[in-house]
Amino acid sequence: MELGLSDREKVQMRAMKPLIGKRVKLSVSLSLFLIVAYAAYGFLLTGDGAYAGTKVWGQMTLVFLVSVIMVILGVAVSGLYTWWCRHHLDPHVENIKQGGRDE
Amino acid sequence: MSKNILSSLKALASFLIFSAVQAAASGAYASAGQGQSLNITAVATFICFVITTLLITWWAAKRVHSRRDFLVAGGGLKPWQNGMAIAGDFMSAATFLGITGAIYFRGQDAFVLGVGIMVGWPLILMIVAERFRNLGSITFIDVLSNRLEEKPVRVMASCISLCIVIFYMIAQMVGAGTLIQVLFGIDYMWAVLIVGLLMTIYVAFGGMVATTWVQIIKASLLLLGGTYLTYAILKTTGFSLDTVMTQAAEISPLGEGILGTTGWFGGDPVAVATVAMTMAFGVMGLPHILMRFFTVKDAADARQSVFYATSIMGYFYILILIIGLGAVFLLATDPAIFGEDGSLIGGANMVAIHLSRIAGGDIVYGFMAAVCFATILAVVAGLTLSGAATVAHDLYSQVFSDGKLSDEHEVYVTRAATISIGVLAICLGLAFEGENVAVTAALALAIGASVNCPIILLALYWKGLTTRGVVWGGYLGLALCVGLIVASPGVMVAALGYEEALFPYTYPTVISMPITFLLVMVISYFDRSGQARADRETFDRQLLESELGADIAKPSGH
Repeated sequence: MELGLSDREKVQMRAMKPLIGKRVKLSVSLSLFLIVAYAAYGFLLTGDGAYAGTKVWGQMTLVFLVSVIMVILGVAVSGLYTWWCRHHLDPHVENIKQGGRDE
Repeated sequence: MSKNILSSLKALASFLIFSAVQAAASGAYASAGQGQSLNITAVATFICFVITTLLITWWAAKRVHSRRDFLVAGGGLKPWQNGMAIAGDFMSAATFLGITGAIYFRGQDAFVLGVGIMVGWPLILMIVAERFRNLGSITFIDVLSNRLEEKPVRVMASCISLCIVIFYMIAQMVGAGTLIQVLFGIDYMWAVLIVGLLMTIYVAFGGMVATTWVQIIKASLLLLGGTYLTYAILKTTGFSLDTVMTQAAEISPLGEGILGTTGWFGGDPVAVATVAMTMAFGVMGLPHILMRFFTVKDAADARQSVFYATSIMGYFYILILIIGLGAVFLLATDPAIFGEDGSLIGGANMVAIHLSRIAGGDIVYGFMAAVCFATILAVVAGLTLSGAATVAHDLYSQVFSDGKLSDEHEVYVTRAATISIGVLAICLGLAFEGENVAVTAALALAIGASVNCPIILLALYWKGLTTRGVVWGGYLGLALCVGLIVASPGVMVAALGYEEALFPYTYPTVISMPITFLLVMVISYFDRSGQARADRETFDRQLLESELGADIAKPSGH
């Protein structure tokens, strides 16, 4: 791989930086959210069994509900990120790739 | 050359179908001796699966014109195809049979495994998938060696990759032999031979296209079977989830505990943390999974395929949660599946299979048994392709031949590597018969999480990373991870017979992953070599390429 960036690449890099920043902000926030939720789920499993087994709706226990929510969260976060990229990232990246400055 | 390949494929296909029928027939006689009858549905479903997948392999073999066609389907898969195949890789026999059985015996604690995967995939989507597609072309090692000194990095990463493939393969082959022996009543040796031969044919002739379609068909069948079982369970309770839970709690020896926690992890947060980290980050380090990002045309398609995969897996894990609880009260209705001591015949792995017989009779039982066989086949085919790509592309082509190998030669070497790995897999499957190999699957995921994951993240995001840091950090991380596994209860107590293990947890990730991160970073930080300067200076270019893509080969249609 060549060292450094060409002039055109420097222009592209300047245009990309805000987009990279936005994407990193979104992906780091969502990742941390998932990791924290997963850690909480782990503590629920190892903590007070009676609390985890609390009935929240009919026979449904807290830990069962959280398990289902975690699965749904995984899908929802993936969907949200994919939607965001398609609508707020891809058009700008395509524009930069074509050589124009993203405004 | 292609005519020879196709005629060899026809001959092998005839041999395999003959072998499968003969093995099933011998199984029928063996089973008859044990008072069991041959399940025609299982054999018929399996033979249909084999014939269909061999036809696909024949079709795929005609479309291979280059190494990218062979190894990554020319980058021409649709996102839904790749998504289904990725999901298929995770909807394995271990997931379906293992987690269902674990919920049956352990309640909700066991679902931490499924939740881990559902956390891991969005992380891969947001952190790795798109950048990988833009930076690599065939294996994840292409990405690692993008801005670092190629040869030492490729050799180190190939060692890790092959370790993961081989450990995973041992678990799958032994699991296949044992499971198929129980399901079909055929000899362990026949089972291992059939799996080994079929996977070699799929990969050696059809490459990634055939491997992907085998996964897609198998994933569809498994989803169909899982959906039916869930429907059957809910039907018995008037489609009331509440009744499913009530009945499970009434029948289970754990009582209400099956709906809450059962103390599987002994109340130890570190025990949960190490399992959770392995599940969530291990996926990020599995070479056969990472290779899938190169099978689509661009980063947007890679992203889309991960979203499809996550959605499919999410649906499947919800099904498993209901199937596991439903099994508790439905299995209790059939005393014939319990031994004299009250234990379930076949153990935890047979919970879903027994349930399929009770919920749907012999037809559904046969169907699910055949799907489990297909599941194992599909997973080992993916592993074989990944191992062959590492040997042929990363080692033979890029390291030993300095990247000067022609496309045709590389495909030839990959096919030879596939056959060698197939033979090795059969030998390992036969050699480890009757051994406790659960630890080898743990080892594969743990190496993925502990070594590959830190290296991949640092390669993508840390400017200070150097060749020396990656190579030494990688080797030391691998040694630490393997060492801790050897000192774990899985090896010291279960395999070697010691009373107590030196390291208390089965998965070492909670220790080995942060230490590998630290090792790579510290070695890189103190690296003042000329190569280190060059490694750091190329980071900006890599960052730009990872966002915009560069020199990406045009896709071919599949």
